[in-house]
Amino acid sequence: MSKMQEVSILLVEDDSGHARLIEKNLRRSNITNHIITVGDGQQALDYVFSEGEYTGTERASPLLVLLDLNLPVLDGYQVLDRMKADERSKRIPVIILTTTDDTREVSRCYNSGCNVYITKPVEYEEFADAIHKLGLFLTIVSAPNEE
Amino acid sequence: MKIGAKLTFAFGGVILLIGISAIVSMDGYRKIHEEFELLKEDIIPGAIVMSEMVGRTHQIAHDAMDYMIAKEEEEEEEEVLIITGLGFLEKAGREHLEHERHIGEEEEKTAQELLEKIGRFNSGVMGIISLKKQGASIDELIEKEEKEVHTAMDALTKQLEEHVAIHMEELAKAEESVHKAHVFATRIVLLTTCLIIALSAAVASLITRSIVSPLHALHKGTEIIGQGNLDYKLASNAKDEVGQLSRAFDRMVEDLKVTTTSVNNLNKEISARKQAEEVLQQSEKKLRTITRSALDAIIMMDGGGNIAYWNPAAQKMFGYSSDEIIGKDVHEALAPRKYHEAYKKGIEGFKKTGQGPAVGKVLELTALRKDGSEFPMEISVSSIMVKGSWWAVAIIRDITERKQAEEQIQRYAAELEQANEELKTFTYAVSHDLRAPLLNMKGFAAELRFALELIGPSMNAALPHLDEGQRQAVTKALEEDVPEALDFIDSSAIRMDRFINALLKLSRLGRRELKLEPIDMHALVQATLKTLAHQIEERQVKVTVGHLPEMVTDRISMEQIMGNILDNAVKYLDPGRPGEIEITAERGDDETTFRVRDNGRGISEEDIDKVFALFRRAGRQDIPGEGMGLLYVQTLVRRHGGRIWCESKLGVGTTFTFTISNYLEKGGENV
Repeated sequence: MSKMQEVSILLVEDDSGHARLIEKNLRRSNITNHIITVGDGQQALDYVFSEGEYTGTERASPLLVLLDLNLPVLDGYQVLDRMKADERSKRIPVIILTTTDDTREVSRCYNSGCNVYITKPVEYEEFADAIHKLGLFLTIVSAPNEE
Repeated sequence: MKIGAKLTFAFGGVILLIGISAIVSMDGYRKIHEEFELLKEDIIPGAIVMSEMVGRTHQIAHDAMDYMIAKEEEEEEEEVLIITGLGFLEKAGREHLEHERHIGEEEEKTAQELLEKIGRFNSGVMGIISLKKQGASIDELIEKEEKEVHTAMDALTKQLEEHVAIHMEELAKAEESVHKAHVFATRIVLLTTCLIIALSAAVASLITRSIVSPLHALHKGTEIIGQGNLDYKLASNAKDEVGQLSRAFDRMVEDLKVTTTSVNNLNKEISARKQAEEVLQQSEKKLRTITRSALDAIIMMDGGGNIAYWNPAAQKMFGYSSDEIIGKDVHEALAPRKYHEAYKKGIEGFKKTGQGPAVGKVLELTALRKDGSEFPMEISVSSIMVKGSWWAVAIIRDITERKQAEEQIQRYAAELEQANEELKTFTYAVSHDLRAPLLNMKGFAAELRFALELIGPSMNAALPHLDEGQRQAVTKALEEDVPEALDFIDSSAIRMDRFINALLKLSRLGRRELKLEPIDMHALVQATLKTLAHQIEERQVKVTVGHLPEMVTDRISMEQIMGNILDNAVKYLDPGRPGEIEITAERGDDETTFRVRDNGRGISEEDIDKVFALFRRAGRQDIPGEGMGLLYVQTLVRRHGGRIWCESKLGVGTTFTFTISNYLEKGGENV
């Protein structure tokens, strides 16, 4: 629990409504960690690698990424691939949180090195429940500190 | 034996016979001649001499008588006569002796005796003469004459006459032997002649037989062969010329047969060739007509790479007339420069083998027109050996239009691909993008409810502080209007979500890969009915299942088709009467037709078109449903190469009929 306190969560979600709902539901699950929300894939990578508008800023460490797949500029697959291909970011846990439950896409994400794949339920009650459980899950997850 | 030998043999035989008979008859004639000579030299002169001697003796005796009685003057004359006569007798006697001496002793002795008798006669006569001279009387003379001359004369004439008689006898003998010899010789000649005739006849007959009968056979053979029977054989074993001739004839016939056969064959060949020629001419005519009327250019290249044939289509296609182009280098004239190098490489091999990179294939290349413009062509080249060198025939089609059409098709295909891609994107958009706001709608509605719950206690505390009007308004807003609004937002979001789900399902149905396997439709229908067993039992529906065949098809599709139709049939039964559902099938040549008939509430004529429409539900909306089932069914049936239609009468019942292709295993989907 003590470690989780230090973990920052990068929420990559283009739908700001969704982002808010996710955040709200995580908070309701007693997740008090710092949550950084970005709206597209490029912003997510910029944050991870301290580039672009995040140049010069030290990104939070340890970090955990909640990644949607359908994103503008760079989509979730590209973000995942680049993160897992880069020495600096390959150990950062990535949780795919998306509406698609297509098995091919689930497989593809795991092949690309995602750590957890979660389908966003379309029913809000289920959605809220899933995010609540994710929050509970996150409380017991350890993220690697960077050397 | 050869005929020459035969003839020689026969001739020789005849000659031999003639020789023998000639010798024999010559011998006979020689004997006759000898006898005749004997007669001529011995007997006849002897007889004559003897007869003459007899005559002389009698004459002398007569003369002596005359002398006796002669006068003196006549004595001398008489004496001469007598002496002459005596001289002759003596000479004849000596000659006879001389002659006889050579014959034999006895003959000599007889001749000696004759000579002695002549001597005694001579002495008797001379005695008379001398007596007279001495002057003896006549009587004495007569006495003397009677005593000496007469006796001597008798003895002499007697012997002489004996001799004559002997000669006469000999003559008779000689005559007889001559006669005999003559008869013998004549007989020999006759016999020989007869023999010769007989032998000649025999030889002639033999020769005839050995010559004529083979000739006859030959003649017969020629007639038979002449009638056309070339299989006839003379088969002579004879070694003569006729045999040779026969064999030569056989050989000739054999040759003739061969010749005839070859002539027949030749004739046949000639007529076959004539026919072939006619056929060839006709086919050439046809070919010419075809090549002239062909829409494709037909070009022939000779062994030197020059154009040898040019049809009207080629003229139309390339712009060169036949006169302009024939004899020109085909590639120089018709191939764009870019092909020249490849052509130069290929042509050498082609000249040797008739093979090349372009031979026996259909290629799409570019061709050069007279005006220098290029056009796409389809060219098929075949090689043909003409006069010892390889020629090529090319059939060329201007495929400008086809290329354009192909390009258009490719464009369409690309557009279709794009449309498909867009559809996928659309599907994704539907699943993701349309849902995302729905989630927000529902999520924030829920958040509002949370907020209301948070507001609730505070509001309850605050309410007593408000006046009646405000209190009622706030209470109404918080307890009726806001929850009602939230409920509408929720229910609308839910409906929207259901439609989106239905659309997604439909789009997935269209894309799902069919897994074809043999399906026992009877068992499948029974299993489907089992899932509806509860409702069927509840409503006491009488279900009849006819004979349903085994089909090669997709199980899930069939389950969904049957499930939807049967579910509808059960759902929309008329509660006012006992339900009846009948499932039948009929296997045709190309497809199998399934029928599901019910006696349910039926569908009105104006609603029947809505049955297969998206989100449409016909009739009373008392039964829950999203209005998608039959649309799924239609999509699935179509994917199985079938059709589905509905016949219905309101209040009577509905029959759904659909077909499934029997050949899905061959063509896969959408056959």
